Amino acid sequence: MTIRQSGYVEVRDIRYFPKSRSSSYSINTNFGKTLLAFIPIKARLVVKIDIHVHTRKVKEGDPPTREITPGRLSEIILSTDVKIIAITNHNIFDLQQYDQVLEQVDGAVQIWPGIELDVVEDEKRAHLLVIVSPDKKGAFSEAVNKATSGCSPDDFAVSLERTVELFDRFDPIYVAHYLGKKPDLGEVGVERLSGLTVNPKRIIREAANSISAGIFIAHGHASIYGSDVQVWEDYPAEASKLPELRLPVDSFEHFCLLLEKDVSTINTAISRKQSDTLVLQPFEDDTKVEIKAFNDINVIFGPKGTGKTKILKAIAGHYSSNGVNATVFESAPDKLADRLDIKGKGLVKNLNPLGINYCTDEIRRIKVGKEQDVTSLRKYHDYFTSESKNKNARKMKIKDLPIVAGAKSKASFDEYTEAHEKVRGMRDFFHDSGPVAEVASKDRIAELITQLSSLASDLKDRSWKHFADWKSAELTNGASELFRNEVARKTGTFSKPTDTGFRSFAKNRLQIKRDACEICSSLFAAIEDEVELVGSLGPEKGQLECATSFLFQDGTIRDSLYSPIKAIRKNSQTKFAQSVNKIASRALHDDLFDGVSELRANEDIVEIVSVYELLLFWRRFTLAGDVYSPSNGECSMLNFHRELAEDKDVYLLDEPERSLGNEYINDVIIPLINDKARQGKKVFISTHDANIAVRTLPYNSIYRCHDSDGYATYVGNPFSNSLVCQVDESKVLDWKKISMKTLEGGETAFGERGKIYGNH
Amino acid sequence: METIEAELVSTGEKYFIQINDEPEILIPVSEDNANTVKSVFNALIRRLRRGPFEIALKEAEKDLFYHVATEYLNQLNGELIEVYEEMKQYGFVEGEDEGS
Repeated sequence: MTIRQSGYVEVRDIRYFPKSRSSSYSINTNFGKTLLAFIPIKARLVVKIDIHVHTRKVKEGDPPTREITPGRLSEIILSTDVKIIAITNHNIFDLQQYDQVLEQVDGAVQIWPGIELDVVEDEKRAHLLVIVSPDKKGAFSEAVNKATSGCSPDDFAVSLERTVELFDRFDPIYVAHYLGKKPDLGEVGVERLSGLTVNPKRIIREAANSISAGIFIAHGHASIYGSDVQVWEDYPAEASKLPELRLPVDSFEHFCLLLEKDVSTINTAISRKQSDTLVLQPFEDDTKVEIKAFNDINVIFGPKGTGKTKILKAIAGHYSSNGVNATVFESAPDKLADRLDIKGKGLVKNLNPLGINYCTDEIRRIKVGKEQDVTSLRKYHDYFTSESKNKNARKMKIKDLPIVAGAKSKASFDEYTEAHEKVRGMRDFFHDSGPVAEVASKDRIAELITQLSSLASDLKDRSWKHFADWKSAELTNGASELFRNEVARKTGTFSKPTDTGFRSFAKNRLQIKRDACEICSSLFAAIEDEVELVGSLGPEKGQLECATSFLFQDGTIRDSLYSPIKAIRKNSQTKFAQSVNKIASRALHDDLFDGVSELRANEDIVEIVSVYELLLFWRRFTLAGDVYSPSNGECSMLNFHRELAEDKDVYLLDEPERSLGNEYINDVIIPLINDKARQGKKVFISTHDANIAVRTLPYNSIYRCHDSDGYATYVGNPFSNSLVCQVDESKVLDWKKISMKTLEGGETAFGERGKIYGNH
Repeated sequence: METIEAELVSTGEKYFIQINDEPEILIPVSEDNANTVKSVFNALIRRLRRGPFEIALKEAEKDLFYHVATEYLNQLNGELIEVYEEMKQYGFVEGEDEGS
C-alpha cells in the first residue's frame, strides 16, 4: 500500500465538519439555515478530535493566553464536542500537568501525550508533532526530558533522524506542519521522514485549516488539522471547526489502526453501528439482494438502469410491512405541486369553524318553494248569503270562531323546553363531574345543584303553561273546523271562512325571504386565505408559501383564477347565486316565483345542495404575497426539505440531487443527510452524484452494475475502500475507482477543491 | 298602532275595499281574483315593514258587500298583527336588523 493510498483511507475514516453544531446549521448560505429551522434536531453524538493543543506558554513567542490550568482546561474541553485531544506543547512534555488534566476530565475525554518539536531539515526549521499512546506517557516523558535536557524550548531543535531515533520506539503518530501551516516541513521532509520511520502510515500532514486539509487529502495525502490553540477562552468557538470522527475511536491504538486502514478494525468499528440485515427481492425474477441497513447513511449507486430505484422500493416495502413509515422520496420538480395539491383536487374546506351556514335546509326549502293560496272572497259571499237560512246553524257559534293563533305559544313552549333541558343537563354535569368535585366542596356542589333544580322546575312550569296555550288553540281550531264542516254537510249552509289566508301567505313569503337572505349572507361571508409555509428560497427571495383564497360565487365573481371546489359548472354557480339574490330581493313582490323558476331550471340544481357547492378557490405559490412559480431547481430543493422535515426512522431518497446544483448539494443536502445519520436514522440514497455518494462517507455503499455476467450487486464502504460481490466474494472492486468512474462529478468529489471540508 | 281608513267603493257592479294609504290599495270584494288578492297581500306585507297597523272600515250601507268587507277586514286585522310580530322577530321591519 502506498502512502497516497494510506492517506486516502484517512480521509474516509475521519469526516470533517468545519463549523460548529450551531454554525453547521448556517451552512454557507442562509438558505440552509432557514430551512433547518423547521427540521427537528435531536441529540446527536458528535465526536471531534484536536491533535494540536497547547497548554503552556513555553517559548518567547507563545502568547500567555496559551497557559491554562488543568481545571479550566477541563471545563473548556467538556463544554465542547471535542472528545480527543493531544497535548503538544513546544519542545516539552509536562507529565505532571498531563496527569492533572487526566484527573480533571475523569475519562470524559481522551488525552493523548505529545510534543511539538522544532525539527531542522535541510537547514530549515519546521514543526513536527509527535503523539504517543497514553500508556507510554512515562517513558515518553523521560525521552523528551533526556532529549531536551540543557536546552530551553526556544533553543531546542532536532533533526528528523534524531527524532525517529528518540520516538519511533513509542509507535507514535507524526503530524508534520505542511505547506500553508508554518513553519512547514515540506514534501521533501515528509518523504524523508517516511523513509526513516518504521511505519510511514503514521505520518499525517497538518493543514492550516479544513480547506487545505481537503486539498491535501484530495491529492491522496493523509491530512488533519488541529486548533493550535492561541487563546483558550476562544476555544469553544474554535472547537466547532475541528474535524469530526466518522467512526468511533476508543483509544490512541484504535485510531492508529483506523489510520492504517486495518480491515478488521474498520469492520469492528462499523459493526458497532446498529444495523439490520435485509434480504430483498427487488426485481421481477427471484434474484435476492442481501444488504446491511445501517442506522446511518446507506448509498446505492451504479449506472442507470441497474435497478437502484427497485432496490429502494424493496427496502420501503420491507419496512412498511414491519409497520415502519417508509416511502421512497423522488425529487421530481412537479412533485412539489402534487404534494401541496396546487390544483386543489383533494381540497376540502370546513365552513363550520368559520361560522358559515351551509344553508342545506334553506336551499332545500327554496327549491321546493311555492305560493300559498289565499281565501276566496266568494266564500264570504256564500256565507253571508246562506247564513240566515238555518236557525240551528246560526246557533252554533263555535263554527264561526276565528282561527286562534297558537304558533307563538308553540315557539315559547319550544324555547322553555330547550332551556329546561339545558339547565337540567348542567345540574347533572355538576353532579357527575370529577373535575368539579376536585375543585369545589360537596356543600358548594350541593348548593349549585339545588339552585339549578329549582330553576329547571320553574322553566318546566312555564313551558307547561305555553304548552297548554298551544294545545288549547289547536283544540279550539280543530273543534271549530269540525263543527263548520258538519254544519255545512248537514244543513247545506256555508261556514264563515276562518281567515283571509293572509297569515299563511305572508308566512310562506317571509320564510322564502329568510331562506334566501340566509343563503346570501353565507355567500357574502369573507374567508381568510389559508397560507402554508413551503420553505425558504434563500435570504433574497424569502419564504415560499402556498396560499389558498376562497370566495363564494355570489353572482358577481368573474375572476378566472378561481375554480369551483366541487364539480359544479361555474356558469351554474353564477346563475344559482343570481337566482337566490333575485328571490331575496323580490320575496315580497308579485314576481317572486320567476326567480324560483329560474333557480329550478339551473343545470346543476340537483348537485347544488348547500353553499359549499358555490365555493371557489384559488391555490398558488406566493412570495411575499405575490404569485410565484418556483423553478424546477427550487421545487427540488423544497421537496427535499419537506421530506427531511418529516420525522421518520427511515428515509429513502431516490436521486435527491436531481435538478440541483453542486453548491446546494454540498452546502445544504449533504449536511442535512449527515444530520439525519447523526440522529441514528436510516438513510438510503440512490444517487448518481459523487458529492453525495462520496462526501457523506456512507457506512454502507451498495453498487449495482451490469457486466458480461449480467447484473451484480457489490457491497462495501469507503473506509475499507472495497466493494465485494454478493454472489462471489472473490470479486472485489476498488470503492474509490468505481465511485470515480460511475458517479457524476466523481473526479471533482475526490478532487481538487476539498469542498467537503467546508468554506472557511 | 296606526289605523288606516278604508271604505267600500263601487264602480258599476264592482265593489272594492279601498284602503286609503299611500299608495292606495284596492281589494276586490265582488269578484274572485286570487292574483289580485295576492298582490294586495304583498303590498300589505311591505306596508307592515313600516310598522303595525289596522284597517278600519268606514260606516256604510249595511248590504251584503258591507258585511263581507267588515268580516274580511276583521279577520285580516288579526292576521296583520300576527304577521307583523313574526316580521319583527326576524328583523324584517324597518329599524330592525333586516335580512336584506
